Amino acid sequence: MNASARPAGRSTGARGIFEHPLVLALLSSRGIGPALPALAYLVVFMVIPFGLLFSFAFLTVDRGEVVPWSFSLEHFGSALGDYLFWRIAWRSFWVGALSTLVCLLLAYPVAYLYTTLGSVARKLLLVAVIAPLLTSALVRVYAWIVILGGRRGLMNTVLLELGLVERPVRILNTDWSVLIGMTQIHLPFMILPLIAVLVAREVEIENASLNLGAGRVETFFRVTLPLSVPGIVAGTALVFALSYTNFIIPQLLGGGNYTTLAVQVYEFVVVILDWTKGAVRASLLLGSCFVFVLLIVWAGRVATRWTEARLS
Amino acid sequence: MHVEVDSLDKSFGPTRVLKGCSLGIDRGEVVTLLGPSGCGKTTLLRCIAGFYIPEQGSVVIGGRDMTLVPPWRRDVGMIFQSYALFPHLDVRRNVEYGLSVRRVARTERQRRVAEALELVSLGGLADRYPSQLSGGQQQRVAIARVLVLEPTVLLLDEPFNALDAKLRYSMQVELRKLVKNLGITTIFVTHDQSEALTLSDRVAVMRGGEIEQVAPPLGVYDTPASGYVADFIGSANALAGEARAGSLEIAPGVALASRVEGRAVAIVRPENLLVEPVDRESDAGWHGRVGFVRALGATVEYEIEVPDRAAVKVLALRLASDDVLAVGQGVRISLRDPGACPVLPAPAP
Repeated sequence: MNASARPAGRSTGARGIFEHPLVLALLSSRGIGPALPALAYLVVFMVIPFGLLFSFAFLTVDRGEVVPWSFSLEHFGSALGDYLFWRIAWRSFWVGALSTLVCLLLAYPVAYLYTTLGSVARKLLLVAVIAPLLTSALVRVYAWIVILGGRRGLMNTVLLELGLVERPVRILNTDWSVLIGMTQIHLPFMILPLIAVLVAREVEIENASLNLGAGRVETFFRVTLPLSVPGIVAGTALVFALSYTNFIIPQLLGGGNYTTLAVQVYEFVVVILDWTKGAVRASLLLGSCFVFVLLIVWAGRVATRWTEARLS
Repeated sequence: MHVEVDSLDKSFGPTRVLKGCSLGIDRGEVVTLLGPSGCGKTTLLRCIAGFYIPEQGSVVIGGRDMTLVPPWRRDVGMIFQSYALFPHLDVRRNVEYGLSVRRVARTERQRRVAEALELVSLGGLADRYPSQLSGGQQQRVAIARVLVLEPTVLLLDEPFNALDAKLRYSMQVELRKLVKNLGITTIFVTHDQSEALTLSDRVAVMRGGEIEQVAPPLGVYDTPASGYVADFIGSANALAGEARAGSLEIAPGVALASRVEGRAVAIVRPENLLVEPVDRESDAGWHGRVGFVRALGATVEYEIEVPDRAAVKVLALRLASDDVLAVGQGVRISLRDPGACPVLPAPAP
């Protein structure tokens, strides 16, 4: 094609668009320019809805309509003064925390194993870790119902055949089934950050420790573990936030009566249609989750300093 | 013998990296393992440190068979190429690490750490973290971290690679003085021949998983065991020929005494050759033509084109008043000392 055949006006017009200040800001490599699209998305679809959600927690709604000038803290007051609220909050916390701890204990050896493997085995392991994320969490929760449920379910059949129990045990609709489900579904989110830090570690530093007289176990606790704290913090914060605020798993694996804060939010907003109470609990859930994540980051720093201090 | 390595074999997969390496090192001696990358020198060092277990052979340190002893029970200090300092610990705790592992009492620990830091003149930087130190300082920390344990054997894996040329030279001299004063048996790995000559009491030249020659620095230079060694240490002209009746003629009228018969190669160092300009080629002697001149200041390197073989390298000391020969100048080449040219059997083609 002949270059001169292109209409001259169009090409200057196109350049005109690219010289627009907004476009230049987007394309510039300095400042927040390149982040503007994502920022705009977050403002529209996260900040504003969250603002609305929080504001509902302070307003009274009567027959589907917001009562004007009904701003008050009494809804928070009544939730925080309710014994039942604290029992449910405590359950949300310990289920989330315990499944996070189990995830960490299960994930660390897997991530460590990954770093010792050859490239083919590494790829296979990575696929095995990521594959569950390719199916919907809902599907996996239903799969757990099939495995754990019933007197003749898979779990009970295996336990009975192995002679580990004498009569069928109830696992589904207990704390156990919720913990098992949460741990399995969130495990990849713990393994991946741990793999990231452990792969990047310099093995020669561990060799230096061995050379200085520390055995393998001591080297692990004095060198490998402290140096992997950033990955532990990332994985722990991620898995805790996911477990603490998850409502599908307690809802389905805990049976209808297994209530956590997230389940309660769902019930108030979708079933009972009491948006104010739902908004109060959602605000408290998100706020406390944020605080716990900050605590996890802080604990990581303290733990690193503590291992250092032990050396002097 | 303080450290004795006997016919070590080590393979990684199908590759045999060490093929029957044997080496004995006296107490307090400084020995360099010298060779190009991939010759197995680092593998040999790591077998001595205990990071690799050889398939064959033994490692004996101070009379004890250490072949299967894990690295943390060997009392062999190692300086890693990357220094491998603990990034989460400050300089003091890095140096203290080995003492704390050994549960040494606190007051003694503090005294020994201070001494070790003083030894490498790092007293003022005890509170810094490794990332806040320069390459040279990091290396000093690595040295102090090992020396604080008073090891009898010190291993160093290309320790000067990350330093710039000037600092490298001064650290080499400093380190040699340090280990000699402390009387530590030291094994160095390097691919840099000048480093090997600066540091060592003896040099072990390695090639393809085998030790080709072990001798004092000037020994490997003056009487190389092979053309490979001669070429690796310094610069050399390898002049091949046919040796007959105890004599190898390397050029018309230039013959060297030879203990080898048949195909042989004479190792002639560039500084052992003398060139003088000739106007017209007379029949007598070894003639050539200047092909390339590299004036280095104190010395001048010539490449002399000679008939029937590759250009011959000649190194001449230059005084300010001397003229440098021009390219194309006809010259006569002669040997300063025919006795200093080892004649070796030619390698199999």
